[in-house]
Amino acid sequence: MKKTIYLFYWLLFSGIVSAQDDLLNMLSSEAPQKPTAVYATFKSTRLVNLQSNETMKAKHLDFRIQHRFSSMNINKDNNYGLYDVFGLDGAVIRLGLEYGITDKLMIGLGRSTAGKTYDGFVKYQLLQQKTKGMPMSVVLFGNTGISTQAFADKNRQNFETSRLSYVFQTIITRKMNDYFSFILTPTMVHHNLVETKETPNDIFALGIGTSIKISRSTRFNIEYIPRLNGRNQPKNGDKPTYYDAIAIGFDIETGGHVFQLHFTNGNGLIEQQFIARNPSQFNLTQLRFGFNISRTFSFDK
Amino acid sequence: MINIKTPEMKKSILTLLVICTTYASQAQLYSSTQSVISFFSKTPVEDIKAESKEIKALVNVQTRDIAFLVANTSFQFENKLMQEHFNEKYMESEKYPMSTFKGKIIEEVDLTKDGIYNVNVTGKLNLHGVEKDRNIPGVVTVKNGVIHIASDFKVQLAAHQIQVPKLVVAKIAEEIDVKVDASLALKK
Repeated sequence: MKKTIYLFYWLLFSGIVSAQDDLLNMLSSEAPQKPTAVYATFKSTRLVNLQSNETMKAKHLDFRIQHRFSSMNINKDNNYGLYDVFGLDGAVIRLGLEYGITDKLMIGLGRSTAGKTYDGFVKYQLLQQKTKGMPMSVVLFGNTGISTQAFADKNRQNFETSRLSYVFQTIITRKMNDYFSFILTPTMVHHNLVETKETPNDIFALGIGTSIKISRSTRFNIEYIPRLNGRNQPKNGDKPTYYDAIAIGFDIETGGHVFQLHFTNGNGLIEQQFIARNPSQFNLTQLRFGFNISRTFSFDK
Repeated sequence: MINIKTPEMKKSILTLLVICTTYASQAQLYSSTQSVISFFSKTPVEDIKAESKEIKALVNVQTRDIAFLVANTSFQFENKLMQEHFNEKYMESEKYPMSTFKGKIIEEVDLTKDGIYNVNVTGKLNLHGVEKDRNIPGVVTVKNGVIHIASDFKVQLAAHQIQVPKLVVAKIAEEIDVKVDASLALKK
């Protein structure tokens, strides 16, 4: 009986409802929405220091300038930061060219002033978060760094392989909604040469971070990369103690450019430096101001 | 005499009615086979263009009703960064996944007969969740049972509450040129 009533109502109203609606409804029901890839989890291929899940799309080139000023030195000895103009007198910089081979695979080359280091990396999008089904994105990242700095002790037997260092990361991200994105990055850093016998060659760390959308063109980002081993390094003589990198920053996107402005205690611009060998603490003396500028060029025709 | 009150009878009459109406509506419907929608934004700083081949169209030749539907994420840009911004910042495709138009051809043209017809379509254009009454001109060409629709029209971003941030205001035109090219055949 119920079915009959429904059918009756359907017949009654299908005549009343304008035929225009019918056409549009027919179109929508013919083309059911497929689950689509979740886009814009982050504004850029970097959160601040950490790699995000974003990759350059096929035939797109990113010219990237990563720049960190010196420590702000906001303390009594340095005239509360004015002596170095809050670190503006010095800088560490990486220039990079990063290119999308396919929509899922990108490569990058860069050169950092810290340790006169060249780096090359590969980033591959293994899983992509979807509107339905896949709840997260998983990206694999690996790089090799080659320091070209002269060996500190030239009389010692030096090996060219001592210049090499490697990073492996699994980048797991999820865009919760339009406003919040999260990142979790298990990391391994390997240095062929370390300072002391006690210092581990392999450092494991777990990068965590979040990005919050402020407006359509700006985001607020926080990241923290605690190391899981090698935290109790001997403080003997001139060997530095290392600290976990923390960063707070803003993304400002202007179409083709992304400007990332931030404060971080992270020293160095590649993972082997700011994750495993960061000598700066998170305080007003050792915090530094920095920025990344990313400019994307499309070679797609 | 037929007893209309038995449930079986009711059911069969209704079924018959449903079949009849469905059959009748299908007989006069034309649906898109090959269609393209593209748009251009021209400013002194930057030209932006994109197109989608996934636009769907339906025309009822008897009532001259017409409908278009396209998924915003199906628009392809040369610059994928622009594509991402188009979806994330301007169309907000997660909130408003579809752009639609439904309308009626004003002129009493017989679209079952071969010919070239200049027509005006009055209807509602829904972009970015904002519906606007529009009167859009177009050219309909009917040949050998294929209806071809071509139309150029403009969309004002402000009319559909698509706001352009100040930072990029020089790069995006206030008025976007849209071009639709649809071929339709009798719906089977």
